[in-house]
Amino acid sequence: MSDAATARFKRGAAEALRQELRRGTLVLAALAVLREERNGTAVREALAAGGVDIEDGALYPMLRRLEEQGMLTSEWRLEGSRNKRFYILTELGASTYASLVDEWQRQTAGLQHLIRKVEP
Amino acid sequence: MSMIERYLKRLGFWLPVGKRREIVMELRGVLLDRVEAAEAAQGRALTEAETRRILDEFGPAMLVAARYLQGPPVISGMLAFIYWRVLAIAFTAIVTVQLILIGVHITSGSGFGPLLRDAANRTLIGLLLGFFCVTASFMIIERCGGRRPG
Repeated sequence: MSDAATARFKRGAAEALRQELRRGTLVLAALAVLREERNGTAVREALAAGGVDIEDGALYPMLRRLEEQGMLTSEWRLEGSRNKRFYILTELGASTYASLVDEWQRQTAGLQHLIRKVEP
Repeated sequence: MSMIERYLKRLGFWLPVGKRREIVMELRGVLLDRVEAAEAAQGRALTEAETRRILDEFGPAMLVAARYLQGPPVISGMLAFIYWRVLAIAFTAIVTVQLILIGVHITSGSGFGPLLRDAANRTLIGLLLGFFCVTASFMIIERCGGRRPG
């Protein structure tokens, strides 16, 4: 492999790992913003404001999946001239969100420990 | 039919009938909102190319539909290399056996035309059967094998 091709491969691999890291917290981010009732567009904007970018083509299937899992509930509402679907956490979603936050904080503390290479 | 409706029709084709109407209705609203926002920003109707760009950014219809259907893979990435290798070995064995049989029949003086036709039929059936057996075996391994956490 040429040097340029190797460099491209390594950049591609690094970007894939960054994507994997971001994907790992996407559901947590979505549950966080849906503690308030929002439609899909508002969810995307709230996520973007928090530095979490997601394509529309990935966001709406994720919202649907979370609803099917019982994390969210939704209802259709007329906004302007259009019917829009508004989502919010269910009780199960709220308790799952709380446990995910605990887990995320625990993992973050552990990772920070590893990164600082502090002896246990 | 507008470009957006054609896109939604292609997307809806891949969705289960029971979920199709609601999903398409939601995505129609989202896409029309995107178009309206872009037209408001530009002060004019969008061109076909600009509408296509919005759809491209949304994602290919089949891929977006597939995201609504995410389930466990038939054969996971973990086993995929081994699966392809076993399949290649099986196909090589099937073709080799047929070549040997062709050789045996030639030496016994059978007609070449019918011989090749029969060999081709047997090879095709063998390959299909081999593909089915290997794939089914790996599907069973995938379902019953269990996974490591993480």
